[in-house]
Amino acid sequence: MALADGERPDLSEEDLRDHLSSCKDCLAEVARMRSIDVILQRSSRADIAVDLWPAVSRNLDQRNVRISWQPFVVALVLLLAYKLVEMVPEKDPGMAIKVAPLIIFGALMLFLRENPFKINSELVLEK
Amino acid sequence: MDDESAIEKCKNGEQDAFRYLVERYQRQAVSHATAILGNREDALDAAQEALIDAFRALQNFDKQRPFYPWFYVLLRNRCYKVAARKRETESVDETVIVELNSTRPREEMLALEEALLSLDREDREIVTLKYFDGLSYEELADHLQIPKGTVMSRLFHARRKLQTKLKR
Repeated sequence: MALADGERPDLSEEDLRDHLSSCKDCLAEVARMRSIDVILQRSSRADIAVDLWPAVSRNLDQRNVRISWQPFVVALVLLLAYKLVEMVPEKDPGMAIKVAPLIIFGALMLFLRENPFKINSELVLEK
Repeated sequence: MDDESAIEKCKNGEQDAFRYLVERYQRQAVSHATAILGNREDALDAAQEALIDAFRALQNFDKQRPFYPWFYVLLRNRCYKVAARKRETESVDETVIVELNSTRPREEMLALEEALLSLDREDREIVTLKYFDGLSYEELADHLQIPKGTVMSRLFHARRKLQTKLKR
């Protein structure tokens, strides 16, 4: 079949022809395979118009928002510092500092461009 | 723009350059995925996911290589993953693999489509790459990541099975 496929067979072309002239089984096999070749060669691959870019682009945008660990560490350090300040008994920092955790959390979400209250209405079930 | 410069830009994170590659190869990718999966919806999913894989893997792409054979390996992997959650194969009253053309009888093309769909995925893949894309044994070995000897034997058995299916 290599020869029929336009490739170089392991045996020489002459050897093959010699063999085929004396072997009816192989000759019949070659004829059968050639009939398949004919059908396939006059067919072509179905072609369809597609535009995958919008979906691919959307997906890449989502994946590009990579969440690194640094903002979380900064937020953690700030919250610990806040807690230490709050634990000092003789100081009364007042209301302003009471909202510090909220400010830190808000800043973190702003930095990550995440809305913690957003409800995802586009959840898709696994196929 | 050509493939090489598009790939270089993609490596620098330019998504618009990737658009060039998507638009250039998407039809080919969907056709190939359809030939493996036998289902157009699954093929669209697989092609889309493979393109996303490609964008992320381009950092490791050797620009001496042509893009599509490299991408084909990713596409193939995706197809086999999608196949694990495969939909039922569509009934054959239209074709997804073989082009229906006016020069050949419709029944003959439908019979070929049905025979191809009844083959194993790997057999269908190698036969369509060989005949519809005209790939050589060497190129088939590269696309399928198998030795040339395996290409020859797989192709032989695939043709034989196809012949048996077409005889019915």
